[in-house]
Amino acid sequence: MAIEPRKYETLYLVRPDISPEDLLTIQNRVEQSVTGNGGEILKSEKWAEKDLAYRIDNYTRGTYYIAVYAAESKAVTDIERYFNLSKNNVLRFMTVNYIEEEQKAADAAMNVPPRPSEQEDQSAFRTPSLAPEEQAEGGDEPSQAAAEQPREGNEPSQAAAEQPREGNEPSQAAAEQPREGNEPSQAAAEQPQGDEEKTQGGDQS
Amino acid sequence: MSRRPMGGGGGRRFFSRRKKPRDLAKEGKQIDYKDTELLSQFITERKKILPRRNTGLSRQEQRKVAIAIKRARFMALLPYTVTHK
Repeated sequence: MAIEPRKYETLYLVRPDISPEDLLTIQNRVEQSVTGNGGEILKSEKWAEKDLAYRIDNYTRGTYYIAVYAAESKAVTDIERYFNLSKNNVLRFMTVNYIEEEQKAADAAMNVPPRPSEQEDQSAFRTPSLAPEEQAEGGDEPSQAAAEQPREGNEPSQAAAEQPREGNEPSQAAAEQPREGNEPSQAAAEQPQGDEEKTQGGDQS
Repeated sequence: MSRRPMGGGGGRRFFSRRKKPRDLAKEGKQIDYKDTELLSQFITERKKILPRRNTGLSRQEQRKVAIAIKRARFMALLPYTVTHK
């Protein structure tokens, strides 16, 4: 028994005027099918009551219930056979492989460069010396940088784009950027007139 | 970052929405057929599935989105068309 049973998610749509008993029967039946086949119910609950996107059997509204369980595929066929037999009450049903929340989070974490909002938080923990590296990364991914910039109206250099998020710290970075020959930012414009402190002041304004 | 705008010539053409690359994984979004709010970004006014050139999704993500939309349609979460009511 080395094989771990798959996890499934069944969403089923019951008619809105179903009697509580019938509903209970259905829910019990789902649970029985799972446990009866050596599976385990992970979740069985109401998902939402919604207006249907189109009419089904003259119903314009319906209630969705969701069941998540780990079981052999036999349980799925069993449940679906039962749903097919109770067409009066169950208008639609669908079983898909369940993607776990942790998996979702892991997937997201893997490819995510921090979103603007997150960036704010993270930069607080970063030493200023790391900031230029990050900007270099930004350069490798022009799509991201490009997506961000138009919203800000004018054409700020990367330094200018990054700056407001990171707060006061990276005045250094700002000072360095113009030398690398990027498009002149506001910071760069101020540069000749003053020292680093002044640059910082210019950014904040 | 000006990307080529959609549709140039006369005659029939799609609404002129630019293709801007979009990566749902990067946005931390999982494609789920129950997430109608997300999916409805990828259908037209007439509830057709948008082509990849307009969604800007990767091949893999476009496929996932398309499947999710079809699942959502079956479950009456999304309409197939605007004419049935």
